[in-house]
Amino acid sequence: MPREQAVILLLAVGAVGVGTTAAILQPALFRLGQEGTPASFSGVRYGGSYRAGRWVAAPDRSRAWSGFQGRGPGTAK
Amino acid sequence: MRWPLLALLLPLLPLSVLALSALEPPQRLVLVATEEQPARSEPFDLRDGWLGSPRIALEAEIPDNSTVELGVRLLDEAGRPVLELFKDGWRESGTWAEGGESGSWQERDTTLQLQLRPQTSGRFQLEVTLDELLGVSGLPLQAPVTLRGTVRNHSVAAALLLYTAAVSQAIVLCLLAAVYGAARSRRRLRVEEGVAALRLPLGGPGLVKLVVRARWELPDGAKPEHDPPALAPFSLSLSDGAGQRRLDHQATLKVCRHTNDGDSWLTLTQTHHLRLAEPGSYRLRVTVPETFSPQGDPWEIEWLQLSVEDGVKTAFRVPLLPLRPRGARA
Repeated sequence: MPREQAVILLLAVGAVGVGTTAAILQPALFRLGQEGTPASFSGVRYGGSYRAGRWVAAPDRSRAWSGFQGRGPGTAK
Repeated sequence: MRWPLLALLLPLLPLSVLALSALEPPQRLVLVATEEQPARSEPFDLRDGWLGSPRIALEAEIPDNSTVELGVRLLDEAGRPVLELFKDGWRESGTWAEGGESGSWQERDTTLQLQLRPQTSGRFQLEVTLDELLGVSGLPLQAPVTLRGTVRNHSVAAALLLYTAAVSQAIVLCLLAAVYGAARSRRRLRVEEGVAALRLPLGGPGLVKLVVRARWELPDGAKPEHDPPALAPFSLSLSDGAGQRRLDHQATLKVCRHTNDGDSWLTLTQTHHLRLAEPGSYRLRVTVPETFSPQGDPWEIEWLQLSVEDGVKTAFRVPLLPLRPRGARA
């Protein structure tokens, strides 16, 4: 097999290996007890964070959002 | 040579992982929270492990044109909160009219997703408090909020798997192009007559691929009045460096008729493969009719094209034109 074909094949196998392993293992996923908070999704605020392995509630829980976020098409609003 | 086709199976690996993870039956959760009464879910399992990761997905059912603030706490077996978060959700709909067209729209952000690993596997519960449910005018609404959700312990990153499948598919297509599209040499000859001949160095490992294409047209402005010819005689010959004729192939080939926008033309396309084991100088000669029968329309050759690729590999067995051995009499 010519060398460039071996390199391309290796790349394909490597891409599948790395991508599939990372998708299954998700090594960067938050583990309870780890410093900080999990990844935030839309509209989510965490009410504290992990410090030294313990969940510490944040004292300030003031609302900081404006309510409706939807735009609607153009003239609708 | 077929092994490169097996590489097409590679992108199926991430897709099959995705399909396998979808087979896991989810644990279902239903909670109904009111402003007075926080809701607590049935206990569910969160497992620590490396085969996928836990994912909790909740969808809040709130009235149209309202906003909600939910307080969500994840409790461990002993009832201690191990995570606390607030979800600001909203749902809105309306109608639009623009440029004489109109319709309705609906937007919402009422889903809550949580992806994390527990410190150790165990039973957990969710506690949801309805902190606020407001109508569009900012007035509180007195309605319970139902949350439906699922807990999975072996979820995988679906987007990454799809991306992996797409990227590996692209790389595999590159590999197939590198294997089956590579040639030692390529030549293309186009002439405006019925005979094309060229001498060129050919031969060695792999096959020689010949593609012959021809096109006939009527003289300017002429319209076809008879049925066009359906068949055309075709001949292909090959002589080696010593001038000896090694191949004399005669055939009658089907001619395709094309018509577009008042124009008519005829084409012929033919592909042949040869195996030339010993490298050397070879002469190829292709003949097609320059004109067709005088009784019919005056079809004339527009061009004849001969493409030669040397040293190609094919995925599947192809028919080869037999060559006379060197020194054999014609």
